[in-house]
Amino acid sequence: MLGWEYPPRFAGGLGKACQGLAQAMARLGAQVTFVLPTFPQRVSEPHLEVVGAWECLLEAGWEPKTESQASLESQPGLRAVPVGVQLFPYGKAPDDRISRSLQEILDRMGDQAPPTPRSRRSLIGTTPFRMRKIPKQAPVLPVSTPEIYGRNLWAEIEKYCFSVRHLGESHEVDLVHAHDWMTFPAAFEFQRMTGVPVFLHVHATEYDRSGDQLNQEVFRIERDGFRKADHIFAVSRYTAGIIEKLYGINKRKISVIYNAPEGEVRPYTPTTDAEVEARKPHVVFLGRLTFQKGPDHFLKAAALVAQANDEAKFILCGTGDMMEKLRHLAHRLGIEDRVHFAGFVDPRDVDQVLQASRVLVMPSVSEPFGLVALEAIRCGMPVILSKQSGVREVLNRTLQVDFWDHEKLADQILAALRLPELSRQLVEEGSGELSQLSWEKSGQRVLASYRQLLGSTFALSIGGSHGH
Amino acid sequence: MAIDICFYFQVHQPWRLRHYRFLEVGRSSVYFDEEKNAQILRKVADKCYLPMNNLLHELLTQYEGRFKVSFSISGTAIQQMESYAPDVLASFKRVFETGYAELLSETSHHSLAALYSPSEFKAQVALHRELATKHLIAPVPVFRNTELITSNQIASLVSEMGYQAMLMEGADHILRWRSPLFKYRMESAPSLVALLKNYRLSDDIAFRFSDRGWAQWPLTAEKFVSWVRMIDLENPVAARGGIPFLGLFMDYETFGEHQWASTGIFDFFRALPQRFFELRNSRFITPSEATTAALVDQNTESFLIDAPEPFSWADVERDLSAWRGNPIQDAALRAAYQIENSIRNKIKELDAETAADLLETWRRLQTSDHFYYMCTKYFADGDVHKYFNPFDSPYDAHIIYMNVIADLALRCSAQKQKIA
Repeated sequence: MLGWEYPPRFAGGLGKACQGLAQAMARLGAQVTFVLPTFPQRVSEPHLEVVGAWECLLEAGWEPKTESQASLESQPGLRAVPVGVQLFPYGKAPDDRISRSLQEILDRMGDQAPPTPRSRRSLIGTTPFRMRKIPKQAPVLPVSTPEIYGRNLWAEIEKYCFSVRHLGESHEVDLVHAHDWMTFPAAFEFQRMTGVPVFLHVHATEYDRSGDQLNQEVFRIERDGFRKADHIFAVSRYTAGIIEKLYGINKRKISVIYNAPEGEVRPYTPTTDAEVEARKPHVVFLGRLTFQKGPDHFLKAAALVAQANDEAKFILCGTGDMMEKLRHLAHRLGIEDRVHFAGFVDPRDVDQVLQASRVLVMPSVSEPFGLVALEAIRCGMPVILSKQSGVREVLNRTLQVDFWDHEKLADQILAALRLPELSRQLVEEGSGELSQLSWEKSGQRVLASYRQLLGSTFALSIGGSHGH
Repeated sequence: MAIDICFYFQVHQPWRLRHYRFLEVGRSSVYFDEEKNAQILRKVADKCYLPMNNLLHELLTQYEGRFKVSFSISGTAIQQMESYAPDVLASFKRVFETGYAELLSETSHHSLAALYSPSEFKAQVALHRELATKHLIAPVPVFRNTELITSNQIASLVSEMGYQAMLMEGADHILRWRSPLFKYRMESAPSLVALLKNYRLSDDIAFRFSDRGWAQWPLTAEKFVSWVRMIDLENPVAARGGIPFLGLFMDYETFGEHQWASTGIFDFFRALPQRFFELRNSRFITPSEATTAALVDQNTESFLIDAPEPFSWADVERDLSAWRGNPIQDAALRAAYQIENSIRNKIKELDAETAADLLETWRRLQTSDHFYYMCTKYFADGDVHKYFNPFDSPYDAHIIYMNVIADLALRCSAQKQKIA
């Protein structure tokens, strides 16, 4: 698997989803190697290894030649950058330009000629995943502190392509499963070296991130990747629809693989009306403060709620490029004393926020899935979901609203605040739906797609490695 | 074989609420969606009421009393026809004027008042009689409670009010191994005759008629009557010297609305009476005729129907779970009937017209459909609850209902001058 985030290196739902799926696949008997651009932690679990391509290169003895001649020694340990800084693909465009060599890689992606198949051996049960030989002809690459989504994202992508390609030279696997567009070029580079099939997993599209102001380069990488991929996994029917309609991909090539809640879901225990009322009348928004998450819609509905409810407070957890704009908006709406900008909330503290509040609102303009809704229900809290979201497909028993319908959203918030029976029933029925979701089920669907494409060889290699 | 066939059709339309927001509480008391209600009534009238009334009129006239049917038409449906489609009212009137169609008694507002407020229940039954007599025909002394909801308590209430019979679901959990072909009495009211729905044969028409996945599709009049003929093979009623009662009870909207004209439902029904006449000694009877027969017949089954818990004709459960049982339904019903006293007190201070308007509004909010929309029993796509729900979800139905009740409560507590 190729991915850009994996806890503790993660900025949002992508990292959690990648971890949930990779661990479940490993439990189901697949041998999973999850390759990030950089991952100093290195995880080794039964059937699962999480490694950084960068670290693999360094371990293999490769010495980067840098433009600035900055030596690696001057970087005391490679580290993941604290979340909440420069969050490109879910924020604004990278500052740097696409280099000529990366452009060549991207052009090859656009070329629809099928890859030359190579004979492969199964990698099930082999030794840890390490670079076995030093790549020849290493290109000159800008070396910077690896960031999750740095200013020079294109350079990071190119570097990732380079390292993954060389992993391909020395390793044989059954297939590549790549998460989101940043990893697509590397996936096809790997395919070029090995001939294995490519499965693309779409957690978000450029359409979700940027609306009508698509970054053309990113859009093209996604479109070319979708066309060239052997199969595509989408996190919802909603996202599958975008891939089909906006990218013109045949829907038979797309399977929906829903995300699932993290860890064990506690069995639902009925809450009393008193318990519901004991929660503070706090209305929570939890997500990046960016256009596509709809925090402005949250505030506009909040202003209506404030007219009828003197107690309610509105908490925005998260940071993002709209922060200043939102502060102004809260002021203009006359609700600045009712709104609290909590800033970035450490993922470990999210439950605490959710357990103390009355209702979570997810007013996204376009939300491929929306993991936060699962977390809220797990914390015994009703949710109001945008109809432009994927998670509503698995959480039918929720309040739902068009993100632009502020009046209705306000009405639902007011109801969640004043009608304890409604909140109680939403949590109870939502918990029932939540318990239907698991990473194992999703993992099984992924394996079924693998088998369909790879045939019996894959089935055998999985079957032979059961019983971890 | 001898068999009594009793067709009963339910006609009902609720006053659906508009998307009334909590922010409107205290500012607006316009609750109902006039446009949508008019639109739905017109649609159902064109697809079902008018063509089926014409067909029935033709058949009733043609067979001169050998063919008969019965109806329940809720007061809210009568009100809406009066406002939005007087031609439909006239069309029903023509059917009744043949003399071969009967109208049953019920509550004016298709409510669950029997379960919550006996005094309100009685008032609504009287109101229905008034409305029906004024616009259509006087109802017969046979009672049909909302969605055939019946219990010991309701049966004794209905019996005390002077009714001789009541229509009920032939529910398995009530009858167990007993046949719905008998006319039983009620445990709590032994003088009350129970006329039971034969749900298998009724639902073959109402639900399965156009189901292409059904092994018996397509259903013809000939095939249907051949199934009725088979009753004779194992006929416990005839064994006691009685005549079996076949209750074919269904929504009137079955014809043309639930089963579209293109399914052939009208042609099926047109052919049906003639096929029944081919059965020896079969006859069509009305509920009041069946009641009279039961009252004189000495060979009736001595079993008494005992229903401590209410049963109905709804869903597979045949209980009340379509309208109450989940927290939001229970909360809404509680709110609807908790307000009764303040409504009655408020009415005393108001002038006659304003008082009548307030009472009527409260009654429209008692219609069972509002609670049906809040049902979360099934959540599958295409579920019948979802099909009828004018709102996005059961939760939205609850929110809107509670918003409206909040305003109604405010109107009751407000000072006199504020109402005007």
